[in-house]
Amino acid sequence: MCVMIEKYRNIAPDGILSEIRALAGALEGRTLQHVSSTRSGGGVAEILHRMIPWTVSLGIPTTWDVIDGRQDFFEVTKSMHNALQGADVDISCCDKEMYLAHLGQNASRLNLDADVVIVHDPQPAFLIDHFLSRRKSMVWRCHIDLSRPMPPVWRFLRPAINKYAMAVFHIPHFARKDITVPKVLISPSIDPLSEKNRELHEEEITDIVEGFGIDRKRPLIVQISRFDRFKDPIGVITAFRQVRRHFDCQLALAGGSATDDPEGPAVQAEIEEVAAGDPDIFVLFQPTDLQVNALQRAADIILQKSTREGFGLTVTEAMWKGKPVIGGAAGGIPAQIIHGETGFLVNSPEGAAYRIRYLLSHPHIGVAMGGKGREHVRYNFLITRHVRDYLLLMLHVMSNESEKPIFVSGPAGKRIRRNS
Amino acid sequence: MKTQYRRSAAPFEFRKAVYLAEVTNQRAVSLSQLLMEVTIASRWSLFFHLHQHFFRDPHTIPEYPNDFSSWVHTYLAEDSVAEKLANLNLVRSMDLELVRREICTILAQHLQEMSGERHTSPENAFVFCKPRLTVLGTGRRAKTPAEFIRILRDIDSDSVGYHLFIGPRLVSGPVMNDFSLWFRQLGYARLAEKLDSFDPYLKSLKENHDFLLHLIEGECVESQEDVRDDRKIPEYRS
Repeated sequence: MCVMIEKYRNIAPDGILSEIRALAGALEGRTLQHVSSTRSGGGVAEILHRMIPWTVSLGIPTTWDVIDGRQDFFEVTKSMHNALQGADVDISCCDKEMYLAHLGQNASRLNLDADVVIVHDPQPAFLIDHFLSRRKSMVWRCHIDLSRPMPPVWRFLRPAINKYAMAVFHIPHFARKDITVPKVLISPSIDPLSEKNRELHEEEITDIVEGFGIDRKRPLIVQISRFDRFKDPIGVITAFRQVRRHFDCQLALAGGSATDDPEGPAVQAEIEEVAAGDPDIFVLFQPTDLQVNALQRAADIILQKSTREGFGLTVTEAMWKGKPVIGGAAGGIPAQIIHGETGFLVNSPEGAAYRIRYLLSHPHIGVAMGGKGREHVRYNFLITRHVRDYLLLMLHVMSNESEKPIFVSGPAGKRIRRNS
Repeated sequence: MKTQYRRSAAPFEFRKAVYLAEVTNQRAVSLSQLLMEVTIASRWSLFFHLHQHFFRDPHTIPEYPNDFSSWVHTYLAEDSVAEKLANLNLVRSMDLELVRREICTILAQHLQEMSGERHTSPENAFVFCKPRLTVLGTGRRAKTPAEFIRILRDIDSDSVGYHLFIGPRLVSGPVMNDFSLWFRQLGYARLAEKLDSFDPYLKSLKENHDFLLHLIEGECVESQEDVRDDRKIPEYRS
């Protein structure tokens, strides 16, 4: 009996748990190796800390290697990371040489010999050049928005990506046409047992949100996100003020700024200036995971009014808490919100204001949408689906077959055959 | 009614399928591009965009029930075309080539009648994907209608989806659905006829599951007696 499967029973769909068991049976004895740039901080490390106990408990020995380097090495990788997501920065030839030399040193101490090796994000991508004989078992997992990279930096990275057996993306639009290896989709996920998503008692929720001065008797609208212009916090305040002409309600804007985002403090100052003197707007800086959880659970409506977005896991978190979500039609948000079913997609502050007013006028519709949203997340965006997809990825990398189905026999999945 | 057991068939093996979506290089930002890409898309890709919603959420049927109609509605706001694409004759078209022809006809006719064409931005393009399929055995096999009903009661709705859509269209087909094929082999002609003629595209996977259970239970009254008492299950040999 797998401990992890039992832990998630009655939370994740039974069907997905049985799929995990079958696939793990077929992969028994196979090994998996992850390579990333850091063991702490950031979304990739968070996912791996939760994912690795899963694959280990399923009988798939899993290791996690991290590249190391001096500060100047990571300054280059950070610039590369930002440029690939559209920031206007270039990398000098000297920096590229230093980066490649450092990665070569990393390669000499690493042994990438698992049945499947998943290399996460651009920082360690060039390791492939040192393991070309193993390329058929190596996958590049991209966690960033690659749709509008700075061309010179992308031209530098692209040849390395095209040496992998496969590349994995969050949403179709990140999977660029000039990547010539097979490109598959695996959505990110949330862990329903984490501090940010676990169930809370009503008293606990009330204690936390009343601690911020929020009145639980009046409707609450919440947006949780970094203080970043692409999250349109000023648009959120504009929408809220249009709604408040008709409804007595409150707004909580909770977030922070990444240490590598020089604009963060400026955006926060702008938000505080616009919200100044308004007793119904709560600007909350760097809330803890537990506080985010409580705010989302106390909300009547959750916004994610992004104009540009990666996948938007805050939308997933909100839907998991059974709330109707109004999201900007950007990045991965349309892949999560079923317009009119689990929430609404909007393109302007006015659109957001109208949908908030509609949901405040029809609270029963908001409750029904929230219920559907939670089920949508249960099937598509919990860690259990993510684990299943990684097992599928392993099977497909090892089978090296794209056109024909792979057959796994029996509930324990002990036998694999290919369709002839 | 005993005569309904007059034939034998190989046991019905309940399966399900899971997939990774593979992104192709085919993209469209307008109806004319969509027409061009649908013309050359693989049948796996067509299948994916006509059926993926069933497997993403077994409880819900979206307003626009396939990716083509949904995209045309959301990003091109060409609602008359979206409605026609929502109304594709999928239930009668076992062959995906017929569906391809129907989609192309709808798009071509509309393009002929219109003067200008709407485009959406590249980030809202229709991106063609195809499934990398893994078929899983569930270990559940039915030799009789009674066993079939018993398994159908507690099997996952995804398994129902496999036998309604994936198996018949991509793996073993083309047949209307795996269920009707098996019941016809057993001699349940009337039930097979009903299984062939119902439209699973108007229901969510869970609703299809409930409907099938109700229909098959109703048609196999004697089998239900067998369900209540395992000792009565007859042996069938070919």
